[in-house]
Amino acid sequence: MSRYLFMFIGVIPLFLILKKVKKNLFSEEKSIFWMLGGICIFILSIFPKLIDKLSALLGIAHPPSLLFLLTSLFILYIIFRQDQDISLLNERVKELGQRNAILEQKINTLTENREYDTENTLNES
Amino acid sequence: MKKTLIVIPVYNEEVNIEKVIREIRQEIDFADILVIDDCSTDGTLKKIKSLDINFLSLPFNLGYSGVLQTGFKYAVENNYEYVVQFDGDGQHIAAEVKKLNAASINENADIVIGSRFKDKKGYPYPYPLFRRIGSTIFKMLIKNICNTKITDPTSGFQMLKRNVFGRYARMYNYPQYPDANLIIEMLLNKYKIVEVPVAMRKRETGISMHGGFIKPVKYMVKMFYSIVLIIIKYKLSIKTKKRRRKK
Repeated sequence: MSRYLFMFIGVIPLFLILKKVKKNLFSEEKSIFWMLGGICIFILSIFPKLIDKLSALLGIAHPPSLLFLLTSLFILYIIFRQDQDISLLNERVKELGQRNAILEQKINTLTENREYDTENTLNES
Repeated sequence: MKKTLIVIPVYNEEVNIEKVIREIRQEIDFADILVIDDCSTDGTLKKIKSLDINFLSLPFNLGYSGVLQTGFKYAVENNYEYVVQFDGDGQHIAAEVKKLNAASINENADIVIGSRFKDKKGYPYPYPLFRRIGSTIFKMLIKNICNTKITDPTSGFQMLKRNVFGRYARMYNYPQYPDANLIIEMLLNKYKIVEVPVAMRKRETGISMHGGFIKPVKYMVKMFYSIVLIIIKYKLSIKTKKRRRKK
């Protein structure tokens, strides 16, 4: 019975990711890792014995710790990528703010000059 | 348009800014002034607008270095030859810009630093112990790494030539605290840095950006990290250059 429960839990993330990607709320590129993670969970829920075999192969006495190890590595990797993305985004936002300020000043001087010019031409005529 | 641009980053300097600008206008006739408001929360922007002066207003707070970089970008776009970094809190003395300018022209320096400590009379105020220790450490680091004596590595009163601020403007990850780390980077890359003794005032009102206890510690850690990264990058760049030459 628990096996079906785990299979169900394994399927949920897959559907969630697919739904978000379909609605363009989640980029294809970023969803790959979550999709891979979801597939792993799904496979493990169908064949739970895989973990036992893998840990025996790696010489890990307590199989669930392998599971925890893999999960933490997966999460660490995703956080690392996210931090990387955030710092990139920060830099880009800064760049945009700077450009925005410079352009705003340019527009201000241009409109001022134009107003000045039109006033002058009105006075002349 | 003049050849030199004085960039004044301001953040919540409602009280000081008018005096600072009046002083510059009185003393300096060879430079344009650009005030950059770092999204102040008090009436600074209103004050600047009332002063009839060239200004930029950032849409969100970028911090001191982000504001400076904005000034460099502006200077590049408007083809200035020199940029003077000038604090908006009234610590820097406008007449001293002339000294920087003279040194920049006479000695053909890429960066001229206005040093408080080159001449003992420059800063007759008590300098906090913690900062003195930090300053000494950075002086020693610069001396050891670049074999150059810089007496005031944390001075924000600098005059930069076009090749320098152009580089800063393009720099990805322009450091949060552009002090000893940038000096080391520029020295390693064979830019000529000259120091000129200048006088500075004590801060009158407002809060320093290095106040408290945690901030200086953070500053030190970040500065060391930044310097280590700069050295690693420099070593790597030398290696790639050598490899290219071999090919």
